[in-house]
Amino acid sequence: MPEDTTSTRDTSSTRGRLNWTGFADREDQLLIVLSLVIGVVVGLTVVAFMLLTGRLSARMYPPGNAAWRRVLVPTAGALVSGYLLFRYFPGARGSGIPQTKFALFIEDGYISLKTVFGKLICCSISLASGIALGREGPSVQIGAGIASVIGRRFGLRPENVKALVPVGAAAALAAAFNTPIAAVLFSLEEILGDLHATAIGTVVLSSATSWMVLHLFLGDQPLFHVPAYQLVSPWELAIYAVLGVAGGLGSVAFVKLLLQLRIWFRRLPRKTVWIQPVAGGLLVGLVGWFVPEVLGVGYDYVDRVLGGDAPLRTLLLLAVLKIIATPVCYSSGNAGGIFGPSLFIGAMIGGAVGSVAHLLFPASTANPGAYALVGMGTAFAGIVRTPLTSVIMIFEMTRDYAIIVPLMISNLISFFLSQKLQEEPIYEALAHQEGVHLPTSEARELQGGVRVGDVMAADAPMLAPEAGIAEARAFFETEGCNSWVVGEDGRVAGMLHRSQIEAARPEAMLRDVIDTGSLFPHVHPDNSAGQALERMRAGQVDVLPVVSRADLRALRGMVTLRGLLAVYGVSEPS
Amino acid sequence: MISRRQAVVRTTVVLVVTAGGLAALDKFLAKTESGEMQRAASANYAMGTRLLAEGKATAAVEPLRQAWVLARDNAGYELALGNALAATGKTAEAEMRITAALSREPNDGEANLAAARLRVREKGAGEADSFYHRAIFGHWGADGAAQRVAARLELIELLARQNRRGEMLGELISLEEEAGEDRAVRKKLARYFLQAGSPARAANVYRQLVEKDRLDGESYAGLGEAELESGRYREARSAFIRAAMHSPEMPIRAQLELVDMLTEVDPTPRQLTSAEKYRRSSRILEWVRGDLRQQADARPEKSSAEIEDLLQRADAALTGKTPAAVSNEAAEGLLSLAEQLWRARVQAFGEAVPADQEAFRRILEKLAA
Repeated sequence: MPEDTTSTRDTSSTRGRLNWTGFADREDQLLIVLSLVIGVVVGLTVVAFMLLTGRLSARMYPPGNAAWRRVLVPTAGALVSGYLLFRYFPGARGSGIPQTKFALFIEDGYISLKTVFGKLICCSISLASGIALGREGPSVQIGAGIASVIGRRFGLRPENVKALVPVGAAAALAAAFNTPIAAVLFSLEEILGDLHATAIGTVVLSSATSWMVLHLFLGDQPLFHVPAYQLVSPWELAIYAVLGVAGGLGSVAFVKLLLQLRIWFRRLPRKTVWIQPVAGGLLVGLVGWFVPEVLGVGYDYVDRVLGGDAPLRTLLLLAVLKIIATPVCYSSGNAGGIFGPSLFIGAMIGGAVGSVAHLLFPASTANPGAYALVGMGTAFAGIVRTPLTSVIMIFEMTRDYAIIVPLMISNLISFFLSQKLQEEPIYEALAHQEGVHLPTSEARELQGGVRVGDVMAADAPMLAPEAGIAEARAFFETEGCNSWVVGEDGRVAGMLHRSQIEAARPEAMLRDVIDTGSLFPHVHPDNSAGQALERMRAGQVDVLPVVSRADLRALRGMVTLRGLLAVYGVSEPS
Repeated sequence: MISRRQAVVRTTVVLVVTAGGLAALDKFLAKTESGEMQRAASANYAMGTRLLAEGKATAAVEPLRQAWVLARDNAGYELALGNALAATGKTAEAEMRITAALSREPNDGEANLAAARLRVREKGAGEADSFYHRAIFGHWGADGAAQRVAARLELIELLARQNRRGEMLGELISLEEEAGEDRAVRKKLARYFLQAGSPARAANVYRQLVEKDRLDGESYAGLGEAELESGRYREARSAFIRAAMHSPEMPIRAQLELVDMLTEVDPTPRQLTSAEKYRRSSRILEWVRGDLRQQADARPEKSSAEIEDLLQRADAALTGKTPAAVSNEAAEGLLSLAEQLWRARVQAFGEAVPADQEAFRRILEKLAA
């Protein structure tokens, strides 16, 4: 597969490409057309991905298969996909949601075609072999990747390529979950972190288009088949609240275990990375020997639980086993997402709570299936931390309005409990483990107006660490500044202040003067000009290095106090 | 070096070709999946229905469930699963499956029949009737007429079990029109007519049957039973003899003996002389007096002054001198008294009699009717 070499960073060339089409000044219209195209292509790709995984799985696990197969297949699947991920597709590792966010906030929306193919192939292998992960997260990265590639190939400006990433993500999720509205909400709530994003129009278009493609090929079957449930008694709301607590605790256990295991696996020698996924495959295989329902994403069994047909003991056992198996599979580096397993865990917890309630109060409680249904949303809200998406998603999956109120109650309880006991959301925590600093939702809210990337000086020179004090003093006099960035070869070593120059010995070099160990004041290209000013005030500097979110020492440019004030039409005080 | 225009055109062409290729791949994969799932569902359904037919309902549930999961659009699979679940006692889940099938097609005959059967299991007979009627008048696929007849027969069987003779008769009259020339159905129809207390209609159906097949011993036996119930003992005897002739293996000896006895004691035939009628009436009164005495002695707590009075009147009538020239009125007087004794006997001690005295019971029932 040829690697995509068109980079969004080459902005001068991409701007010129569109002139002949007449779209040069009308990229917005082109975005609308492309969102439809992306909806079609992503829909077709995700349908192919789902069907391919399903057919492959059917061949790996023929009816009445032997128990040894349940150990061998996931182990071999993890080995093969682990090697492919290590050797050829390192960008395709993991669920796909954090990777999509990295691409959006750090890489200017860049996801390579190679990563898209890698994700498709590796996830097909690992999911079909029975690894206890889901297909929805990977679909999001595949969709976002396709959107990114299409945007670049059409020569869009980097900001418009970025704008297409949530478009592709929504299209993918709409097809993968058969939930077009929830897909739009997820793109805004989780990927963009802004429910008022201007991209909503294109996101809706692509989501609807992709959903239509799905229906064209796979018909109008919902992901889960749920009987019509209703609230038997108002007292049931109290039981749904209990379910919210149980779901919240289960979610926290899942997230904490996953994050701890990820830290543990990351500490292992680098040379073992290719074989680490086997740990997940082997564990799920051994568990699957005795309890086959743990294998794969387990939607068939969820469907059964939603029908109210599952014994309490089995429900509890499956909830616990899945809470262990999925984090091991994910943390060991297998390709696959956590959406599907979240729903599975939620259904089991909900079914268990419902079974107990029905046992104690048979006359005033609904079938346990109703609780399993609400439980799915509860775990999703607790683990993924998108309460609005989870409510709408379960509603869309089941098309049952009666379930909305109990769903909202237990989802919010689970969400707040999870927030209280596990402060950092799972995707942000995973990003931090990777050394990536994604903008928080608060930061994203502040990012309106002029951005640092628009006003930074990309070619500003750094002072070399080997430079002498005299040279630095002369530079400060020339530039008329009180601080400057020290570093070389595009890597920031630290910040130099005028006070440090004054205090230093004349023969000293800058590397001896600056503090290279601690974190220096900095901003990222997507920060607002206002945030940069605030950081200058806090750091007592008049220059800030603009660094990558993926690597805090990788310099992208510099912003000066003078430059920022000029943006606001203010001269620097003399 | 390609121009910018060429680059964009090339990207568009690549996109179109990719989308076309993906669409073809999706179609192929979807077709493959659909085919594989249909085959698997069909195999599971076959296994499930076989197990269900063998009475292994518990074992049938899993393959039937699998069949339905693989082909959810197939209402037949869903209904079969519902029936299997109902047979295993999982009525709540069975109801969900059957209700889902009904909500998709409320007029579906098979779904309504399944719902009726479920109501019967749940002892909701009233609701079962209405589902049976919806099944009878609902949509059926091929062989709809036979299915409707089978559904109505099932309803009749239910009514018979619940001894709801009036409603049963109404269904039987409708069935008579629908049954057509199917001999098996017509035989059932005649049998149920008999059970519903309409021996004349039963006899009529049996007569039609034997007219079309003069060698059908079973229908002759049925006709004999119907004539027997109608009190037409000579005709019954004739039918039983023909039955024995065409089907010697049929156990109708007891019926023949009964009918001979009835012919011997029946006081109602018009051609009887007054003396013979009086003699037969005396015999009947004597039997019922003896029977009532025996019952009263055995269970004195159930006896009463009225019974004792009736017994004394019977004693007086039987021990009195027989008139030289007996009239029909004298015979009728004895029969009237015998009838009163029988009513008292039934009221106090029930109507069960020993098998060898069945003839008297039948005669007295006939008189009391």
